[in-house]
Amino acid sequence: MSDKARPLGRLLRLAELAGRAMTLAAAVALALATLHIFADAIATKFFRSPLFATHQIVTSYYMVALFFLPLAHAELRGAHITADLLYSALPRGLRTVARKANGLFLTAFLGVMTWQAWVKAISQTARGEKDTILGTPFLIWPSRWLVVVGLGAMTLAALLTLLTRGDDDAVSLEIESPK
Amino acid sequence: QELQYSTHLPPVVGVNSAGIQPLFDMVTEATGGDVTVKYFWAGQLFDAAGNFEAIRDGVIDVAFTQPEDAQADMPVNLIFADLYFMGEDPYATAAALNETILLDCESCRDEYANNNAMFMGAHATTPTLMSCAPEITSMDDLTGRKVIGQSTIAGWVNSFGGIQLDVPPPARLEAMERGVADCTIISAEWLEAFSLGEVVKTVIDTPNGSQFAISIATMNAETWDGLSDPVQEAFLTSMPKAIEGIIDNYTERDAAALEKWQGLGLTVTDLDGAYETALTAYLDGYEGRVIEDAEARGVSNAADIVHTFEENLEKWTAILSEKGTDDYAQLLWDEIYSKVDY
Amino acid sequence: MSDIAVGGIGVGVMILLIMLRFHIGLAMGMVATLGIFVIQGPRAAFSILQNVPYSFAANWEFSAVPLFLLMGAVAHASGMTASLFHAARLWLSWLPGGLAIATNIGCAGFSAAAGSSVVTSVAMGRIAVPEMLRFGYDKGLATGTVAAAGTLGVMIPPSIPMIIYAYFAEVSVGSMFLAGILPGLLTAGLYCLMIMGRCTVNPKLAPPVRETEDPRAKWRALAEVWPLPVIIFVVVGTIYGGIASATESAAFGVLAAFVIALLKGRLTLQVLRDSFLGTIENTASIFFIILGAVLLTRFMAYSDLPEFISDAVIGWGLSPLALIIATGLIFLVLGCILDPIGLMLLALPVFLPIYEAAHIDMIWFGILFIKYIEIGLITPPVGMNVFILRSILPQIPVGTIFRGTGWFFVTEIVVLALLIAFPAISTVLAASAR
Ligand code: NA
Ligand code: NA
Repeated sequence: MSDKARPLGRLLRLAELAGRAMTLAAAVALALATLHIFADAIATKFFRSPLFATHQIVTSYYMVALFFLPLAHAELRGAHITADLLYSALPRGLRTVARKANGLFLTAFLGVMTWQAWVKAISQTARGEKDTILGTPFLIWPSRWLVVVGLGAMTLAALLTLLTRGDDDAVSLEIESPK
Repeated sequence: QELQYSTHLPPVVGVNSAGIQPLFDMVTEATGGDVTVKYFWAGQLFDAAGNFEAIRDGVIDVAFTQPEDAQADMPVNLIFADLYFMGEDPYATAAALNETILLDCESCRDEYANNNAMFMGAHATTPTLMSCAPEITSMDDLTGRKVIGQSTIAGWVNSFGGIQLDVPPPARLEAMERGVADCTIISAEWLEAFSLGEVVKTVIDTPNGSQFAISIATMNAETWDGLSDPVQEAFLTSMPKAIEGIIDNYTERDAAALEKWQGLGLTVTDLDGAYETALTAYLDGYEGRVIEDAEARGVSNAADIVHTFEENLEKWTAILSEKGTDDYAQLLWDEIYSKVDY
Repeated sequence: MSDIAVGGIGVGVMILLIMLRFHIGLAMGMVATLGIFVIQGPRAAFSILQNVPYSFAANWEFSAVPLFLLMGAVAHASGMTASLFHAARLWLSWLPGGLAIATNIGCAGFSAAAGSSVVTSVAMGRIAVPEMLRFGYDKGLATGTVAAAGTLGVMIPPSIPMIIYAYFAEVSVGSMFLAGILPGLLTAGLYCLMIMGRCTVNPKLAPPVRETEDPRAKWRALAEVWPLPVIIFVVVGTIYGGIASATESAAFGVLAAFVIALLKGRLTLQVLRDSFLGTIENTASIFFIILGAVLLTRFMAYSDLPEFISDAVIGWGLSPLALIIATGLIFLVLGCILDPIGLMLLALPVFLPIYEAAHIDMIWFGILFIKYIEIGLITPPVGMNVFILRSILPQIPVGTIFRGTGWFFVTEIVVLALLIAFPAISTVLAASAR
């Protein structure tokens, strides 16, 4: 890791830990989604009694968690998809410029997305966003905060990647191992 | 001036082809081309729930919305969704709804106003019919059936031992073909629009109810204030014609769909009145339940609204049985839209 | 500056950013947001940003994608795919490009259960590509095969885009499904021929098996292949047995994979960890890209670019055949940058009335349209199926996968020409069912 990145090392490790925790939460959501959908299908087909609000729980909670929470971890791991159709033909200096520009724009764009998700989450919380299923209110607004958490974490991840990434584009982000 | 209209429905559905497009054509013509429209069809910009939020945010001028997609914001107007089972003749139901909201129920209008929106009018769907893939000859044949429909019908379906399932319209054909579901409660027109006639063997032509908690042209309040008097006038005079166009269109499509599929072997039956008997028994005390539910979500004048709607429904049933529906738009204008204070 | 110009410039900038190795989701999403900002102002841009990400994530149909990813990941991590391809290697070694052909047929079979190309590519890519690579197949061929054959998912029924098309065009979904069968099989057949031809000319693409195996080993290998067909049978069977919808069948498939892995004593903690982490990483990267694509659709809707193009085409006053070919070229170009659903939402309301006015058979056109959006899935710079394979196989550059799809693209153009020249291929089954 380059010298200028060292002061950020601790922060980076913290971010990676948080990213892992959120990924774990997403894994739990995925497992729950599988079991819940399966159980509902069985209950409907063979016991003629669907489980309460399966579709709403799967879409508003499991899927929202699954899609947004791991975004930061994927960013730190460099898993987001890129295509080097022109990039590799560029001289080294321009490649660095392109890479830094990507990081800068990514951080800015995600920052705006997080800000808007925050605005939305506050307003949906204030109005108590809900659905009604079989006469029972089903709260939706809490899941709006999953979006804020996921996008917010990805913004920080993008910022840290921008600040710490070395000049060699072949090397993806490396994190000091704890041992 | 260009107004932006957004809907989650594609241009071919009756609401758009027979209602919204003629509406804006009339407005454009009445204003000598000063006011034009840009359509965003089929969720190009926002999905069903998003359209209401877009109106509130002032991002869209006019949109198709339903209170069910904004339940936290519309506890009062949600009453009309709960009154589903009262819908039968679409002309009378739509007129009663529009009169109730536009003239009688101030809290209904306030609710739109609180969301930066204005209710301009709505149609009512044609009555929904139980449509099944298996052959159905008695109420016993319906026991244990899996029925696709909105959650409003769950109580009714449970009452004869069935199960209500939630499946979006485009996926219903597949669900019924493969036996994931046995029946669906739909307007007859859907036999054609969603190809459900390909799987439905029996239609029970006793009306269940209809969907009329709709607002086909929810208007952003600032947009409305920015319109000149003649343009506002053009909207108010054109709405009745748009509503008539939609209901005429759906009524014709219903009849055509039933005729076509009957020709191809579809059975239409009322189960010798057994379905009606069972439904009537289920609906005993229905209004009371609707009022209770509405009061439980904080609508203190729920009883007034329900009773006003009922009175308006009676009134319009009488008017239409006397005068017919040929001059429906004119009747809507005389009785409702000429008195609207927007 | 006109909205149309903003749209055009936006698309240009987006393509440039993608080529400069920006995150693809970022290139699409940022350009789209800025474009809406310029055309419609900050309110609209912010409202779209508040609305789209959440409502896209909270979507029942799309939840099949992570589930099928997980199913494939378990099958791969527990070695089930390896045994199938071990057997395929022994039994199909005489066939040039045998594994690629087997993959192609597998995709066609899976398409009969899945209604989406993304789902088909995800499931089959997870299963097939690592094995083809292990046996020394050319990276481009291995990934190109799945990226291209995955598009069969929407041509062979069931098909979500066909349902949307039928709704727009007011034709029967059943007719569309029937109409897709022959074109789907034709495509799969020509793919097989093309793969065989290429591998015969250039054996390095798919190294033939050299060692002579004794027959007992071949039969032993065959006895080991059952898990994967069983899993796919569970998915297809629960759908056709009326037990599960498409999304639900994915959950059945996941559990079947876990149960079989457990029975075979291969469900280790490592397998569990790898399959879940891999799935979640893939899900996140696919989601971020599709989010960008959805935002881009919003930008295009505001820009009037699609209407501008269609007005120009109407102005030419073409014959029906020329209209089909000219608009086909437009769809191929739009397909380069838009995802299938976005292309449908933007193009159908604009173009369908033109075809109706020209009395073009809407079933026939529907099949052609499905073909166009299929092809768009594998054309650069925005080729959804290619990106999906890239997310599953991070070590393979996107450029390699795009090059791998090149021959499939050529084959697709041949299929298109056949479909246009012989409308009966698309209409005969639908007509016979009437
Ligand atoms: Na399919
Ligand atoms: Na493309």
